[in-house]
Amino acid sequence: MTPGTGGDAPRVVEAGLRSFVCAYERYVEDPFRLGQLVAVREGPWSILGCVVDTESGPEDPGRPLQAPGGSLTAAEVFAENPHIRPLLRTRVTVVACGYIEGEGAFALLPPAPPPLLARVESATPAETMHATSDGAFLALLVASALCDDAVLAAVLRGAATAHGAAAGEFTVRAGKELARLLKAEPARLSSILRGVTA
Amino acid sequence: MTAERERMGSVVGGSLTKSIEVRLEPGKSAGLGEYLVSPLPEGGDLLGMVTDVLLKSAEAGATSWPPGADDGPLAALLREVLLDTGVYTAVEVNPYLEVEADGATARARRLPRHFARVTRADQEILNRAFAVDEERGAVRVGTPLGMDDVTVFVDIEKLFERSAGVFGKSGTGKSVATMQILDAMVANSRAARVNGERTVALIFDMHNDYGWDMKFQGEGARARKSLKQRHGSDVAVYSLDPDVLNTDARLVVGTQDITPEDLDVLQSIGAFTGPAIEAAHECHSRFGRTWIDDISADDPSPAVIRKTFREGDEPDDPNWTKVAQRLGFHSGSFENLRRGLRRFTRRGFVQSGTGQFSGALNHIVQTLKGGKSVVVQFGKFGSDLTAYMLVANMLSRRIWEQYSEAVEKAQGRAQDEPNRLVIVIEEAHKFIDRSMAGQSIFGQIARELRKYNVTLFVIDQRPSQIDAEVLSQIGTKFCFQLDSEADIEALVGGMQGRSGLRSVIASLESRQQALVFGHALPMPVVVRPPDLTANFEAGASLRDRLGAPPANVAAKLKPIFG
Ligand SMILES: Nc1ncnc2c1ncn2[C@@H]1O[C@H](COP(=O)(O)OP(=O)(O)OP(=O)(O)O)[C@@H](O)[C@H]1O
Ligand SMILES: [Mg+2]
Repeated sequence: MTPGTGGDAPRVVEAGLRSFVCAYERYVEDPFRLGQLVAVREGPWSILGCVVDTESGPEDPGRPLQAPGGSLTAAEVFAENPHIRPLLRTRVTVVACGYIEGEGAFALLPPAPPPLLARVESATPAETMHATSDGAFLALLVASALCDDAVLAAVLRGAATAHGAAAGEFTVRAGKELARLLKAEPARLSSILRGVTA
Repeated sequence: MTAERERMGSVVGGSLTKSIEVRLEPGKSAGLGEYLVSPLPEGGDLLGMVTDVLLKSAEAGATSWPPGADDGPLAALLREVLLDTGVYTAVEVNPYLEVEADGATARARRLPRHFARVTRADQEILNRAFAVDEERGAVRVGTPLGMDDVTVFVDIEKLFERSAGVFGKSGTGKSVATMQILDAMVANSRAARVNGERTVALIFDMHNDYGWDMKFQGEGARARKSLKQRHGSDVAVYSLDPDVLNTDARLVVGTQDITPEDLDVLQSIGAFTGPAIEAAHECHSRFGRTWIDDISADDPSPAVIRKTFREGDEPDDPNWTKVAQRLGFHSGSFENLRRGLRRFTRRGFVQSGTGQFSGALNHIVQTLKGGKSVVVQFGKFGSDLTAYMLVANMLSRRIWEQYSEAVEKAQGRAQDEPNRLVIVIEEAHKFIDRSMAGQSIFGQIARELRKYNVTLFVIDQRPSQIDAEVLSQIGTKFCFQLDSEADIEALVGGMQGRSGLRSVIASLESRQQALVFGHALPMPVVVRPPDLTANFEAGASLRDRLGAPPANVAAKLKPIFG
């Protein structure tokens, strides 16, 4: 099953133009993946974004999670203590990299942030291809302080998969866009591409 | 309407007097000598020639930390990604010609704007750029680099209204190109309505290329038809070598025909020393026309004694040393002169006496005036530079004198002026070398050609040895591959955009490829001259190519059809 789909889709809990945070209602082991493209389809346009960070922990920071003793695996602990999971949260940070309005896909910041509590879903392969086809989406990611080299590499790898047979072509095209964006930082360029080819 | 031209890139910088820099689009490449086009801000197009290809980097980073040269996936991806982003290819383009939409052309005085689109020149724009008047004779000089569908023509009259030159190292195709040009010229002259309009050539054919046939390395025959075989009745061949076949007449030089002025030119090849030539002048004025026979004798004749010593002063046992002493010559110089002259008189084409040289000379002048070209073949004497220079110099001086006289006499009446004469010489630098251009008849012709309707067509391997002033008088230059920087510099020095032309010349192939530029062309062009096949046809003019009737037929038609 694709992570983060179905009834358990996370919702926007902190909304910004450049980035937003969405949270699952409880702890999940398989949230959106690093670098994955996600979509918020509520509101006048669909906002596309890129997963740059994921964290899980107690809902109330004042009540830290106590580590139990014994030799049970995590799954066994959760199975034996069903009340724990709802007290935990998984939160995902997303950097906006474009939006789709009607027929048009734009590699620009959306005019307004996603609505709070809007559901966040995986972008479809079609949406992913659409949004990443010309490499322009990278400009927003590179400009974001939340996006480091590891994220960029993961984004490119994920998007390449969506391009299927044209993955190689896509990687070169996006790489060229990155080379332009990072023209003064050859070391960064090669570290990102190393992550892509690894 | 014109088809879309291939898009190549855009203008990113440059200078009108030097070159424009064009950044190429990914995947495009352009070689030296190719033409590119860019639109000008107020209309029209600028046509220029690629004179350099540059590998550039947008930022220092990409080349300071280049991708590895290995086959690993990262290095391969980085190399691909950096191409046309971090690094790119640009070309330098010398701006030459503005081509207006209506076909008018003018020397480039404006530049395209930054980022103007640059396309590859196509047949249509090159045809406009090199357009020649279809009614006038034109030589086909070849196809421009990488454009097999385009043929560049040069207006024959324009080509010969100033001097022209074919330069290049041995085996590059100078003789073939010269023959093709002369072939077109003769064909064009034949089409002229009246004799006076015919341009004629006097060809000093050192290596026997321009008479009946020419040596040719190629499939099949070892020779190709040359001028006499192509234009039997419009070309007369004179030969110094009695064994050459298919000639019209033999040329013999009599010792009495040679004046000391004729020997001046031989100083440059070391045949005579300066003092020896001075002695020759003295002997000529003292002994008269027989001077060569006189002083090449083993002992001074009584006549010589009589003309040398005052009566009563004659020595008892006269010898050449005493003669030299009496005349104030250094004995070594006098010996140098005598030895040199005796070497001469042993050559088969020099005969004691008058040798009917002036008869032949008059005949040649009449032939030229009659509208026929003359080829002087040297046969076995072709490898003898002294022979070549002596004869070329003797004939040219005398013909030049007759021509200048005729022109002065005509006093501007065109119908009385002799037809335009083109003198073709090989190894021109020996005649008009830096040290002696002042004395040489060819230096004089080069300087005064416009006055007297005589121009030079020089063929040379070492243009740097030619007197710079003379070289600068050469209007149209056909430049094949050259060996040395100095030779290239001599040809393009002083030209706009010369550093670019220099590299274009340096990149020429070793045969059958030339950069042609100068007076008769609107802009320089790298061409491949037409293949000289066994049945090469003059195909001289555009008119011929278009299948129109030649001018003489057309002229006959005109009065009939009004
Ligand atoms: N237009 C041409 N078509 C076909 N072959 C050519 C052409 N030009 C040159 N060649 C080939 O190159 C050879 C040498 O050409 P050519 O005799 O004209 O050289 P060159 O420059 O006069 O040499 P040199 O200085 O030794 O006299 C020819 O014999 C022929 O094989
Ligand atoms: Mg030759």
